Amino acid sequence: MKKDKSFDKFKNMLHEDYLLKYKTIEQYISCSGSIFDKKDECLEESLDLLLCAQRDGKSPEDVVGTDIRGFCLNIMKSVQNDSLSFIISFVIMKGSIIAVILGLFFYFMNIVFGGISYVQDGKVSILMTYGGFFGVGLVNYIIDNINRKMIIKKGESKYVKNKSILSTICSIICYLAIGIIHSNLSGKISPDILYLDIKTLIIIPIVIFVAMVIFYIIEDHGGISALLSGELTDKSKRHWRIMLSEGLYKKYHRKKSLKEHRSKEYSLEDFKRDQKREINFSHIILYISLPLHIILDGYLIYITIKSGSNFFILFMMGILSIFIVSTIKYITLKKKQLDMVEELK
Amino acid sequence: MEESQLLKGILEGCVLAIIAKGETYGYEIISVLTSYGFKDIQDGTLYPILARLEKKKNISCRIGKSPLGPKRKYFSITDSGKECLKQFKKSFSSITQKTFAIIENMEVGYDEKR
Repeated sequence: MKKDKSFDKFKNMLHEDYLLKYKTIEQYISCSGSIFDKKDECLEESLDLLLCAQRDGKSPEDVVGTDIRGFCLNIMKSVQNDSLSFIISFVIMKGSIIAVILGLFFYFMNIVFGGISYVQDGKVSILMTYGGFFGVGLVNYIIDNINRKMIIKKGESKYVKNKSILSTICSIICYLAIGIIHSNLSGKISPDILYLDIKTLIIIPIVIFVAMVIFYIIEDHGGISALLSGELTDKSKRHWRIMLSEGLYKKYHRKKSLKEHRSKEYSLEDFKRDQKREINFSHIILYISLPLHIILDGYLIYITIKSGSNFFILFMMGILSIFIVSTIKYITLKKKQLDMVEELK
Repeated sequence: MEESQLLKGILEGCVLAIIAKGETYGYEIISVLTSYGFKDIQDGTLYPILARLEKKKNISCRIGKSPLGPKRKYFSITDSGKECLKQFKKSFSSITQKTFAIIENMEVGYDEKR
């Protein structure tokens, strides 16, 4: 979990009882699997509640209650924008990307060193790619589940502190076990089932990604029912606003503390000027890269047609397009952020 | 009857009324609610309510500096929120009137009262 240094500073301001409550909440949330980095948002709110309660002489139970599980579930529910189906499809996509990385790793290891049993005739073992990801995921899920139960029973637990070591060891053991299962199965099951073509391995996450983007856009506008009835809504706006506002806040305070470190003043006006400068700079980059991109694209298409279909060239084109799209997105989002600077006061 | 079932919609109106008074944040809303006797709010029930209100665009949220913690979410009411609060006040008072009327009548005896 990423955290800025100021976080720990505020945490240490809490007195014993409050700190104990905070640590319990922190541990419970850290053991609750979440795909996006929303955990900090929950922790900041809990920290603020406890600090305020401490200032006003209220007990920690007055603000977070006695049911830590209920509190954490409620606060996590409030920041979670995505539906269960989206989360599941996200996990599947993540799994297929990791499967590609693992598959390519074994594939190239086999080319360099040779004799790796997980690769056969340019095909990679499904068990060692997909099986590995989902096996390790399941093990971590079970560990988290046990940890959460322990936290609820006993409060802050020292086992949870060493959670990352435990989960790493268990993950390695699980992966080794899958390797053994693979070796046992390799003679008994036909290679058509056990092994997957490397090209198919790469295409699967791409297909899932495209499907997910379409799915996400539909969901963001109110779901399939809204699409059919024509009553579209925009759920994403809130999500984006909070994300932009948080990024802006972090950036401003990072810059401010840097300047203050050098005994210089840094006001909101300075920050606004810096933001404007960054926007202008990215405009220049866009104006230079856009014509270059168009020329290069034309050239790549020309080569692709001339030399027959080439996967690598199409891949390069994709990367270039992503670069241009992200620059445009960067500029539009920056402009939106510029309007939000005033809110930081 | 379970109190939490009854509370669900009512709390949303209460939170909206508190935010309507001026920009505020989580702790302050909880403090006001508990000072009026709503103890159930302590286990984080407030946060899904705030998220719901925000999704309906009845309130807007900004992230600002907290004098105590790292940062804080400040909530303020929107125009549609003001409209919603008006509607809530109207329907709530009409519902309570009807409910009281029924409960009292039944206690005294329906026939007698007639």
